[in-house]
Formats: sequence, C-alpha cells, structure tokens
Amino acid sequence: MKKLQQAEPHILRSKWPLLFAMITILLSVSYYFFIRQGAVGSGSTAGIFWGVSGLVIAIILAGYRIRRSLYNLRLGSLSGWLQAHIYLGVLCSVLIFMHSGFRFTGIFSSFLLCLFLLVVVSGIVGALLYRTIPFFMAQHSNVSFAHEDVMRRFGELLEEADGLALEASGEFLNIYKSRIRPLIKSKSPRWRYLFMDEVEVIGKCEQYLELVARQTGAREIYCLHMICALYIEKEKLIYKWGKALLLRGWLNFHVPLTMAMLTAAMFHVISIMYY
Amino acid sequence: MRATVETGIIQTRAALIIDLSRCVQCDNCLEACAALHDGRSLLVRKGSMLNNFNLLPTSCMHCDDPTCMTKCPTGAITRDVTGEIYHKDSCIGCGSCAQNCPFGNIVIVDVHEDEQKHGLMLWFSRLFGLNGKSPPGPIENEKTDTTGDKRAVARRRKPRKKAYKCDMCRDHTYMGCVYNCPTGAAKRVNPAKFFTEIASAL
Ligand code: SF4
Ligand code: SF4
Ligand code: SF4
Repeated sequence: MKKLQQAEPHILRSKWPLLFAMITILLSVSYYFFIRQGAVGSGSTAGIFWGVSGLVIAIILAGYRIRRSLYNLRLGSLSGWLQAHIYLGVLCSVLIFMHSGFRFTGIFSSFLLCLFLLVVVSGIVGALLYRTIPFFMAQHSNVSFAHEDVMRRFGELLEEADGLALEASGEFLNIYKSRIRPLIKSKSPRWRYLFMDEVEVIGKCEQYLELVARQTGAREIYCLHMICALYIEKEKLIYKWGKALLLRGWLNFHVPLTMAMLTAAMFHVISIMYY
Repeated sequence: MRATVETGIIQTRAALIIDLSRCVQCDNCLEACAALHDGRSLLVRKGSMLNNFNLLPTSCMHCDDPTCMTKCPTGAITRDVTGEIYHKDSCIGCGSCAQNCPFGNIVIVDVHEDEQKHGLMLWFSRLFGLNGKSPPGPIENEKTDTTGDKRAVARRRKPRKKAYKCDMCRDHTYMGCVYNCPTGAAKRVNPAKFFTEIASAL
C-alpha cells in the first residue's frame, strides 16, 4: 500500500540531532572567537545578528502550535515538527544567551531573559515528561485509557462499592462509610504517584486496607476484599489520569509563557529600534 | 506475534497500532481524523492490547479477505486500486457489514445533513486548545442531539443511516492520524511484516 510506505519513519529525522549539534558547536566556537577579538555586547554586529536569529527561530518555534491545529494541509508530519521544535529550541537558547552575553543587564532585558529562561526550563521539563510519563502509564497496564471514560468509571466504581457495603453488617457499613468510602470517592490526583510504578501503587492500597481491616476487626473479609479490588482499580485510574492531566496541564503553562515571552521580545525590539 | 495470530490481525493489510509508551494522550489523532472526515472521527482510541505497549484501536485494518465487503448486499463496499477498503455513497446503512466485521470496526450512524460546522472559530478553538473534549467518534452518534434545543432538532431533516469506518484517508495524500501524531506513537503497519521484523529483532 502506497500510504504504508509513506508512514515508515523518515530518515531525515535521525539526522536532526547531528545537524543541530554541529550548528551549536560552530556557534560556540564563533562566540569564543569573537570574545577573543574584543568585547561582544548585545549591541555589536555579532550580538545583533545572534539576537535577531534567536528571535526568528523563536517565532518559528511558536509555529509548531499553529501546525498542530492545521490538519488539512500537508506541511510535514507533526512528529517531524516536534523534533524540529526541540532541536531548534536548543539552538535558539544558545543564540539568545550569546546575544545577552550570559549577563543580566537592564531591567527590561533582565525580565525578558528571565522569561526566556522559564520557557527553556518548561521546555526541558516538557520533553522529559513526554519521554517518561507515557512509559509509566503504559507499564503493567493491560487496559486502554481514554479521558472520556474516566469520570463515568469513577461513578461506577463507587456505586459497586456502595452496593457491596450495603449487603454487609451495620457495623461494617459504618466502617465503610467513615474510612473506605471517602477514599473511593476522592478523585484528586495523587502527586506521590507521579513517578511510582503501578505495582507499588497497588501494594500501597493493599497495605492501607489491611490496616483498616486490622484496626476495625472487620469480620466481612470477603466483602472487604471485593471493595479492596474496586479501590485498587480506582487508584490505578487516578494514577493514569493524574499523569494524563499533568501532560495537558504542562501545555497550559508552556504555551502562554511562550506567548508572553514573544510579546515582551517584540517590545524589546521596538524599544531598541526607537532609542 | 502469537497475539496477532490469535486476534486474526495477521490477515489484515494495514493495522493502526498505538505505542502507548509514546502516546501522550493529546487526542490529535482523533482531531485530525475528524477534521478530514466532516467532524466525525473514524477512529476510537480504545481497543485491545496486543502486548504490554501496543494498543490496537478501533479502526479498520483493510483485511486481505474483508468479510464486510463480501457480505454487503448492495455492493457498497469496495477496494481501491491502492488497497483501501471503503464505503461508496450507495451505502444504505443496513448494518450487514458492521455485523460481519470480526473486529467491530464499522458502526452504523444516523447522519444529519446539517450536522457539521466548520470555519475559523473551530480553527481558533483548536489553536488555543479550547475545544475541550474529543471529537465525536462514530459510536457516540446518539450524543449528537444533546443540545436540548428542541426547535433545532426539529429543524433537522430526517437522519439517514450510514456505515462509518476508517477509509485510510483515501481523499488525501496522507493518513490524518499518523501524520498528526506528535510523538510517532500512531503507526499504520502491515502486521505480518511489522511483527515478523520485531520477532526477528528480538
Ligand atoms: S471493516 Fe472489518 S472486516 Fe472490513 S476490512 Fe475493515 S477490519 Fe476488515
Ligand atoms: S487513516 Fe484516516 S480515516 Fe483512518 S483512522 Fe486515520 S485519520 Fe481516520
Ligand atoms: S496523536 Fe499520537 S500521542 Fe496523541 S493521542 Fe493520538 S496516538 Fe497518542
């Protein structure tokens, strides 16, 4: 099939790291060369060139977001764009730091550099999250995960647990209501699960419920085990959901920050040209 | 490899596989599929697991011997010269293909003529990530009338039944889902070739 051949990984992608490593090394050497020639400030010819190149690349980087929302145009695969986004991001950082001379000078320039630093750090964090979180989510899991199912499943699990508890004795029902139900009902993502293995999460849930069983002297062990299974399923959902939320939440941080940084950069350019 | 034989996907030509260890749950594959197919995603990011990491989502796999096609009473399913199996406009929505697809990859949907809204607003909402939930998949057909606006519903013409399944974006030069996956998690592969290569590499 013709399209299947197109879907094979593009050979160029494996050359991105090499290409950008070479450009970055060349730039660093040129920076060293200019330093030896004399002072290189952001106002020198070389400094302006680095600054303008950095800004142009930053604008191209922001184009990734636009490409992401254009599905009907053939503008190159999105994975290729993401690779380019990462490597151009590295190049852009080098250029901007060279432009600034690795110094904080002037209030607005320092503010801009801080914003830029934040964008770079959030980019690095994002790249790490994109690499690690899906792997953690997929590990040990034999269930597919979709956002739209999560809330419905939470409700179902609570209903099932309520049903089981209602069949038990009044004493157990009280323990269930006060100690176990709030746990099953809670939907807040657990930060302690962030880089935990799913097996560890299950272990922690089991430990907790064993403790409840011992402390309360619950006689309905079978019922407790059934509810325990539901609780573990819910915690597994929370485990995955929290991670998925983190991935989405990160975008809501990185994108506005980049927009703010680009706006400030525009003000910086206009003010330099004006004065 | 055993899973591919057990599930029967070894007999298919082009299976969509999502590598969950790289999938960042961005729903771009669904959005792209919907954007290329009148706002309705022909892909559902749920399905069976082939192994620990590879998900086989609900999307037609363009079988070697497609039972959906052979059992269609009106001959509305056909195979393109490039191998894609697709529904022609003569589909009457009888549901025979959906019953005969061994993987449950076809869904019969009520199509309303005025269902779709396109335009700049949609693009802006995508650009700033304001569209919130995923686009409707074929299985969510019954949810299309949940606006509560009774007059709008009445205004709509009587729905027409139609079979929906992945057509491998035959009107485009690329596959929306694969082309728009940022991490390369979504792959369209020939299962026999792909899993033989993996098995020999191991
Ligand atoms: S709809 Fe089902 S039977 Fe028909 S080609 Fe696709 S996977 Fe095969
Ligand atoms: S190949 Fe095209 S039609 Fe099929 S699931 Fe992907 S985007 Fe949808
Ligand atoms: S586009 Fe790729 S990464 Fe995003 S949800 Fe689909 S398969 Fe996963």
